[in-house]
Amino acid sequence: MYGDLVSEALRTLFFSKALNKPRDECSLLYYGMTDTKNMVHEEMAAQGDLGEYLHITVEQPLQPPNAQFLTSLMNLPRGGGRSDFIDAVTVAADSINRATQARPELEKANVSKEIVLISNFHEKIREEDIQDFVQALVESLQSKGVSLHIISLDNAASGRQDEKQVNLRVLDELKKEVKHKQVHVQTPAELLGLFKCKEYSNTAYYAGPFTIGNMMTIRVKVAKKAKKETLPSTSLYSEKSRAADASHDVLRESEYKDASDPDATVPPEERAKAYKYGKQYVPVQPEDEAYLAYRPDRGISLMGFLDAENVPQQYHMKDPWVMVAEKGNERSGLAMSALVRGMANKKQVAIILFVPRVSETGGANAATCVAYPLLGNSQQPDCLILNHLPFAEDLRVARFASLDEKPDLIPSLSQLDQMRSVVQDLELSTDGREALSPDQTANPIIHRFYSYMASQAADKDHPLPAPHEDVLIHDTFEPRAAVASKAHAVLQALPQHLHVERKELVLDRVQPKEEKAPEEETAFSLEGTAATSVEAVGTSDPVGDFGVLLREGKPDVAFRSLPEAVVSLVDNSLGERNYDKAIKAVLAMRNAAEERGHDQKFNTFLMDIAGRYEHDRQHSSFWQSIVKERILLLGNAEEADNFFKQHSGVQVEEAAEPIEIDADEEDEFAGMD
Amino acid sequence: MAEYDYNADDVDAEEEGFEREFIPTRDNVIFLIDVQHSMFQSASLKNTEGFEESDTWFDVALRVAREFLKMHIISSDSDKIAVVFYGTRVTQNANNFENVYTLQDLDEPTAQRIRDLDSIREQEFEERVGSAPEKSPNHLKNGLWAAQQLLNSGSSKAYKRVLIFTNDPSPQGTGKEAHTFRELIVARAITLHEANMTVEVFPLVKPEQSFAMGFWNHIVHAGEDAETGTSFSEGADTLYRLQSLPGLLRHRGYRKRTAGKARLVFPEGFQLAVAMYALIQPATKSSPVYLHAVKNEPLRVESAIICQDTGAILTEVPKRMFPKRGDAEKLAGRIPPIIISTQELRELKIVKDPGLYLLGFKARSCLRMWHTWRQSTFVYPDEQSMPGSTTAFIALHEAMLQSDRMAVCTYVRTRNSEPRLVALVAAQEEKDDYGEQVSPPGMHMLHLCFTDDIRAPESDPNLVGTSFPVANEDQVAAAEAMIDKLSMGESAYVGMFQNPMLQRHYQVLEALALGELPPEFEDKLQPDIQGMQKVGGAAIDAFRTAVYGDGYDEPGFGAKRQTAGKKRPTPEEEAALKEAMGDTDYQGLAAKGMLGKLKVDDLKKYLKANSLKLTGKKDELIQRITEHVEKSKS
Repeated sequence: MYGDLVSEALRTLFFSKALNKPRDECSLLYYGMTDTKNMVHEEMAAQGDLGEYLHITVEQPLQPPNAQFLTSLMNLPRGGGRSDFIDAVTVAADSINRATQARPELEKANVSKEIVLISNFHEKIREEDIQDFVQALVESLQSKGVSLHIISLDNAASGRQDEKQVNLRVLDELKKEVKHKQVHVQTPAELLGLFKCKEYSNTAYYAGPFTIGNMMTIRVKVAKKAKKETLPSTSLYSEKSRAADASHDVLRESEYKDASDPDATVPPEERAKAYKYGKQYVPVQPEDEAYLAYRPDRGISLMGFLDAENVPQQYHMKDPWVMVAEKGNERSGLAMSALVRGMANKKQVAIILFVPRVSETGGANAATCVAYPLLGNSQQPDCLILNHLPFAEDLRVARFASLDEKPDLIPSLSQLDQMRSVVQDLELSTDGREALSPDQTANPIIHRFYSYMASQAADKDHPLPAPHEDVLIHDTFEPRAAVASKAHAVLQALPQHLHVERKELVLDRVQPKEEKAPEEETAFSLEGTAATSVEAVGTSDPVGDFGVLLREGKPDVAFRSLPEAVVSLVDNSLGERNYDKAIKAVLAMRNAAEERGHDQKFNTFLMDIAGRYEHDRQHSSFWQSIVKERILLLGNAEEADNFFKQHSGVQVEEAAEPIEIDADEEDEFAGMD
Repeated sequence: MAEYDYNADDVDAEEEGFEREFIPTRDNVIFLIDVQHSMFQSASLKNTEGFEESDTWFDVALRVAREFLKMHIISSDSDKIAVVFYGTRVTQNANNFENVYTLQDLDEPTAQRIRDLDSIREQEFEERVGSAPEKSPNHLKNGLWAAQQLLNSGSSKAYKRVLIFTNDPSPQGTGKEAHTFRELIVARAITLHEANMTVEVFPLVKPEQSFAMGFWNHIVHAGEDAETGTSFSEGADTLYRLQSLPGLLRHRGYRKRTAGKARLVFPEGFQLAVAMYALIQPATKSSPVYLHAVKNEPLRVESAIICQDTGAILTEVPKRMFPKRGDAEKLAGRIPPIIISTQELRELKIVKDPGLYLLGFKARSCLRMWHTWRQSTFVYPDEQSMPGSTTAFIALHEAMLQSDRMAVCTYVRTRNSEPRLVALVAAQEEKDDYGEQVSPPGMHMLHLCFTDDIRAPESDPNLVGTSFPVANEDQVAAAEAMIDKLSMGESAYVGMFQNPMLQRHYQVLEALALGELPPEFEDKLQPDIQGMQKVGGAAIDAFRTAVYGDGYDEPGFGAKRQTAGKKRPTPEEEAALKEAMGDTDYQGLAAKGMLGKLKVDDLKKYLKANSLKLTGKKDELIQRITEHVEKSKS
């Protein structure tokens, strides 16, 4: 089940190496192959021993990875032979040995050497003399300073767990004296995310004193703890030229032009540098530039301590830093350790002023930071994690209504219970393993990018997988089947307990006016945008809105805004599309007005409509429809009749006929779709 | 200045002409200041940061206005602000509303305006404007009229606010006709609300005094139905206690505005609507622009994309190359460059529709302090978009708080954004002793890192070594004692410091705009060394002795050997560098503004030969060379 994924993960790794660590060299070995192609076997065969190190092939020799590497990884071969991992690691170690013999510069300690062993460890090892083999291997690895990175692909369902147990025990022997790390991969996504898309070396951004008052300093270093990895950038590629030696380069050129004379290009000596200050542009002479800069002393200094709970994480402004004591400085190490432990015990954070850089022209890059204690272990020292805090100018304090402000919006006990079950059942941590931990979860988009580019380098026709076929995207951004199925029942029941009206959501908060063309049902969602139409009769469901407003005891709003909605519907109607809705609204208003004794309100409205549309070139048929429906004035029947006669006249007969849609209008519709 | 600068995600998209989700909006604000005689009584505010004891209420209002202008210059300089007095003797405004004086029309603030507000003193005011002899309800009514007319002249896309400063709880008067007047004024306020303008009142009273908000509540909430009003219950959001000027600006400086809306989609399809608010928004300096040296007008920058092979100006470039040219050359022979279409690039990263998709819940303790990479976003239910959302949101909020869990979601911000993982952390409302909201109820959306973003410098032997000293109990105890002494205490809060880089930048610009010399800068950010010494001197001393032994301290910068100094090239090296520059005519190209034609490597040759900084983007390198060329000419 892991075959394709292993090749994808390795393609990404090798491509990223070529790109980001161009001096790194890699080699690719397969074991369990039908063929045999390795130097150890050949040497022994030359000595007459033909049966050793079989079915192990060195697919790619040690070299900086190239396109061939990627091509050979497009499909992982299906091996037909059997060989065990001790042999395979021995052959790998031998490759490294040969390389260092040929190139002594590789012996240096700063050239790190690693063997990555990927297997499900289902093929049981040959157990005879295994101790001797392991011992020899350990010595070989140690002497060259080679570390082991063991990736165990676990799949409990596939059986053969007994064999695996034996193998892992042998591995444990091997690990005892060799620098190593071991990962158990349980899902495809974990495998794909195993190798970071870009490796960084950890450099100190700041090295110097951390001062406490004016009485004490601790020598420290500060390095990035995290930094958002962005998609690698691409360059524009012009296809204008068909010439064989075309560079395809694209140049961006900027010209400064006189605003009042578009043809005049302004040369540098006629340009003056300026900064905006409100409405003004303030020219700044080069000699004044230095005044603009804030230039304190470089350094890190303590401002004081605060209760940790007073600085919740939502205040973090940027990516985090880590502050450690200077390497090999026993005194500073002790001081940091004491400080970190003291802070942890007292649940305190430190507020510090961080001025890592001061330049002569640009001034300082100063920040107030919060520092959290992080206790160390045998692998890492006690240290502080730093993050930038907002300055006063960065905060926008806004008030929000208390959640219990409106009693009718407070959920009932049963609603709350339902939600509690959802929170409980959609648990992401199972058996102590936390899913989607930031420390373990790869960025699917960047890996998708690298993976696709790697496959393109090998095969130009390789298609881009659809998002839903992308394992990493699916496992990271979609709810996990195992989690969701556990909560299936409560999730299904949720809509019955909590009624949320589904509406088209308006993402654009402010909508340009000219886009208001409410001829489509969906376009009506525009109404939510302007705050004036809040809680008023809208055009999408005027009758519904009207009813809601009346029920909520807001007849004034209802009676005031319905006419507006009707007029808007009619005015914006393409042909007669909206008439039906508008007429229903008029009827609804008439009924409500009659019921509540607001005759006058309705009558005014109806007369207004008559005035507006009776002789309107575009929408006179709307008035005719009103006439046809015999929507009369309220109150005095005689008056109503008179009004009706007066404004319907002979047109009653015509209007009774089905209205023909002429060809032009149909064309208009066609154009819209 | 960008209204909501999320990250560079959308840069590509914008280049390619995809529509933006958020249209930038501005504030249009009217300061409507009561100037009847009572405003000229001494406010005698003692121990109130930002005000002086001798200030009258009138001074207080102007101080607020002035600081407000400054603040908006720094944080959102396209906002427009006007200052209007009502209850004046002299009438001066565009529509001739009586007893209303427009001091500053609705416009973007300038240095001169700030200075003018600074310089108005009672005497000058009395001569130029003066208070009306008698109090009249018409003053306020006319003031509101004038404010509305001013706001109508502003941008239609702006948020419109009227801020009233007064110490009069009953401008409608107390006579028989008070009720009629009240109705008239409220009617005016209603038309303002209907025109989508908000009215806020700043009662000018001493912190310990009370102020009857009865009348003003009707103004503030005019046109709002008691039940449907989306703002606070009466009183809570209208009364601000004058504890300090910075505090007042913090709480009232900006109108609450959404940064977007989203559906929160549960697995299996249940969904509710939420609105996002950027309560933390990094303020940055304005970037420089270029003016015509003679005309002093901003220059227009025109850029074009030119095909190097044919010299043609390209309107669109549908293909991209990866890796970029420079890297591709380094990889030459190993991996061929890959040409893909912008459409493919888009399909690579745009994989989901905008929205907030719930994946599940975790214990809050799973969130570590290094798991976020940018400022958070505040999330609040959006009842208006999808009725019923609030109830569902409250249930979720409550359930998460009770179980101490956070939600993990996939978040796609816009149609052009790639998905990221976020955590929603429920937060309870907090109020101070006066019932003033300190932190709002809702959820904070924290933007999570991926493993590709996280590094482990703390366990890298190259950085930390391999032996890690651990402090003993006595040393930890000494540290604890020091921590106790150096506590910043109850009065400290996040955001208590102003950004000195911004303050200095704008302070100097203000002076330069007025043709003055830049003032001395008082650095308020530096730690209070004296205070620390006084309170915690002994404890720091004890801690130092506990970890370092008697009379020792690690050296600071001063004691450090100078290693960071610029290394001057030897004469031979210099000659080599000069030679590397070859026959490129840097001066000529600089004069023509054509340095952009050169490769970055070539630009660096010049910089290196002249011992200039090599860092920065290409534009910066060009800038540096141009400046250097000009300098060496003169």
